[in-house]
Amino acid sequence: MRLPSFEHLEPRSLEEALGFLAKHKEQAKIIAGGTELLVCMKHGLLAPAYLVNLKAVRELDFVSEDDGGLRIGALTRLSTLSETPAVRERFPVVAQAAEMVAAPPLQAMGTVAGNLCLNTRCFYYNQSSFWRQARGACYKTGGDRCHVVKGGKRCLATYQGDIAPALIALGATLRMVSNGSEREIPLAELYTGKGRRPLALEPDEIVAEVRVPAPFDGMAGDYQKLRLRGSMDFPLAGAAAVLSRNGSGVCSRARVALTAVGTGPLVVEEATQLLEGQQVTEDLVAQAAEAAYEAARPASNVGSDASYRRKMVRVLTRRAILNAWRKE
Amino acid sequence: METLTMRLNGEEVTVQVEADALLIDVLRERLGFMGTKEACGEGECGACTVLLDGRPVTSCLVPARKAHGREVLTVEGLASGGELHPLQKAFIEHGAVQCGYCTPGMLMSAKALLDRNLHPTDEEIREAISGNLCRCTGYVKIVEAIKAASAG
Repeated sequence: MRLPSFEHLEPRSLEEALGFLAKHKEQAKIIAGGTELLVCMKHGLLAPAYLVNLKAVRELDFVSEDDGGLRIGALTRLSTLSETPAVRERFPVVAQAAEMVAAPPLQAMGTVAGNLCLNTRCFYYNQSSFWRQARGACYKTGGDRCHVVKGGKRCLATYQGDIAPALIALGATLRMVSNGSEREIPLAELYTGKGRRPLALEPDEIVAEVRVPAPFDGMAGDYQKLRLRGSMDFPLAGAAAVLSRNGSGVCSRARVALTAVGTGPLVVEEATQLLEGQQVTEDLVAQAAEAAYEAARPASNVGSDASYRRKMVRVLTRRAILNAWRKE
Repeated sequence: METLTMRLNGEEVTVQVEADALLIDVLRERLGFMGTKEACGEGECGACTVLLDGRPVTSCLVPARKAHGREVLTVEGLASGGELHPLQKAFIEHGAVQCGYCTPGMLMSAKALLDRNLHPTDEEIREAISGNLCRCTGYVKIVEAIKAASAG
């Protein structure tokens, strides 16, 4: 498959990269691992005039420990992330999620920021331009309808990242930089939930790093993923749980985040309210899993049937919470 | 046009490439290394797997310029001095090849594994080739071949 033509820019520093983005704005796209961008370009979904290749911007490729927490550079390969001892030993849920992304070659290519910034996906969107021509444009491609839900008022394309729910449950933040300014936001706020523009990222902005706060006492996490094949597939539903247990066996902190059952990752706040301050029992976990089921909003636009995926949210959430609780 | 210099199968190669050229196209069309196959073109099937600095990557999704200054190993680089690589021999002996289209990618993923881990378990072998689809043999003979080529 051919790529549409583009001009290839290779900045040597973050500053130079930001300069290119400030100059070319929407005309430019960042390329890091390329595993998503190039497929979208081959499908004619994107045709940027400029690709800003970050491979020489070494300052974004690092994993370091900081005040007990982690700083993960945007360009960190997923394979590097899951192999780094500090990640494996202190934040194993992150390594667990990274190892479930696609397959080894794609983990060796794909980066942390690239995975977090995955575009939302849909049967009717992630297709060749020839295929899409037959149906006409939908909300996601600038049209006025949804092919998934007849009469639907908005785009329901699904966010299917694997590492986002784990990092959100850990309370991660993002440092984003643009020419002359920078900001730090909770990772969950990167996701707008809007199909056409799923990321709260400006065209001249770069995700520079992910910051994970120091582990809470007695903390453990788990990520559960539903997919049809044991490899390659994007999640059809996913649940991450991070729980802390205090000295008297009470859950002092609980976070549950879902993926692939909505237009962005979902934080199940009710699960936090149910679990925190309590002894974690099977019954309580079942209630939290029910809350996740209620929060999930899958559409029949990826992999398999929406009602099956929603029911599986209950199962995955239960497993993730119990595993996290028992690991600790 | 941009200059691409890489170490390809141990030899330095310089070639002029278009900005939008993909590594697989440069290997096949420009340099005549037809061992690497393209199937899905979307990074899903693993047929085009080559090693970039020792790591398996799907060359259909690698802009050629990304290989600049780096080491690329293709299936043509496995045999040396007229002798097949132990993995290639094992694939033949164990009947791990049928149509052969996935074989170069399988070999490269297996090579990447054995270079890091000489004593892989069956599970680790399956994990290592989980990005490579085979539509004929099933995977059992391929796993057996890789196991046989390992140090056990």
